[in-house]
Amino acid sequence: MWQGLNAELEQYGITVVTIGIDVDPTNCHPYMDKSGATHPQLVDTAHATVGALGFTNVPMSMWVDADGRIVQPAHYSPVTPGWGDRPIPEGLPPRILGRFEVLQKATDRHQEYLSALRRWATDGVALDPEAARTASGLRSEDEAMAVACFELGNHLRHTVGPEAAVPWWRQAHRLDPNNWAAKRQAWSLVTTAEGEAPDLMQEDTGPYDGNWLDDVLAVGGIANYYPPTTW
Amino acid sequence: MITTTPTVAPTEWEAATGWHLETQGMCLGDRCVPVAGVTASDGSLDLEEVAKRTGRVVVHDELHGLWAVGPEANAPVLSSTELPRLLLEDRAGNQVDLRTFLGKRMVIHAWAPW
Repeated sequence: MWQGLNAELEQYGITVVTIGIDVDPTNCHPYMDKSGATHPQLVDTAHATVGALGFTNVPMSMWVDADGRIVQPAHYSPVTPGWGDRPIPEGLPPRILGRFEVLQKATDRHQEYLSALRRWATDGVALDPEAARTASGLRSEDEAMAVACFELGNHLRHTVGPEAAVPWWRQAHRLDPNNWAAKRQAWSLVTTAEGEAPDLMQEDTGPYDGNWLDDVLAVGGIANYYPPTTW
Repeated sequence: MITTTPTVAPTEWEAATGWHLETQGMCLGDRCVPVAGVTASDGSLDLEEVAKRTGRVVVHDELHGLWAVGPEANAPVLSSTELPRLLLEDRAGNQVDLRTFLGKRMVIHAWAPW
């Protein structure tokens, strides 16, 4: 999808740069290889984009002008239709059905987002950089600590072993429950079998508290799953 | 930023946070904080103290002898209006600064396999 958008946006002098977030880059490589992308594709193995840019979930994006000034801070960026109109298969196990039901409640905003992106492309409609900085939101002390805890856990995962990351990642999850990137990353490493495609249900999360469905319900549902966003 | 000591060289601190030493103290943009009591005789900075003065948080893992410095707390997520220097990996595993692609407008899009 982003390859198509890059082709469309190039004529307006916009480059798409995609960043796959995963502590193991080989988890991103198959998707990058299949994408046929001609735009730059990078991998963030340290979740550095969470601390520096505010990418606490995916899909999220940011707009930058030609002088390197951020004119739209990290925001939810749906570019494909939501789940609302898709029929739910019959006979699903209750937890999978629950996930479908949660996803179906998401407001489909992809056309709204694409319109905003195209307005910026064609007419330059975006925020003033100072307004964009303000709109990036205030990071609390707990949220900042969570970023440090995640980095420490990731460092230990590489230097000591996967078990060494657990206490620090649990702490990161506790300090910032809205850093879904930190939670989904940790859960996926537990729930995905070696060599298998990522288990998106993320149910049996082993040493970690919570799971995707219960945690989304705990924050009040899918409407609160991404940071509040206006484009 | 991960360190194995409770001190850090000013150059390392600048590379990680953008805060750098000037005659009036440690500065970032139009903000400066005093460094009296932060700098050791060898020129290194006390990590906990320089973090505190620049609004950063630090967590310490006593078991493994590590310190991790987090982003600025109680401040906007974006520390500047400008895209920061940010090293990421390309498909071949090379480190690439996100700012390499400046010169044209950019949409930076984050996705994940999980």
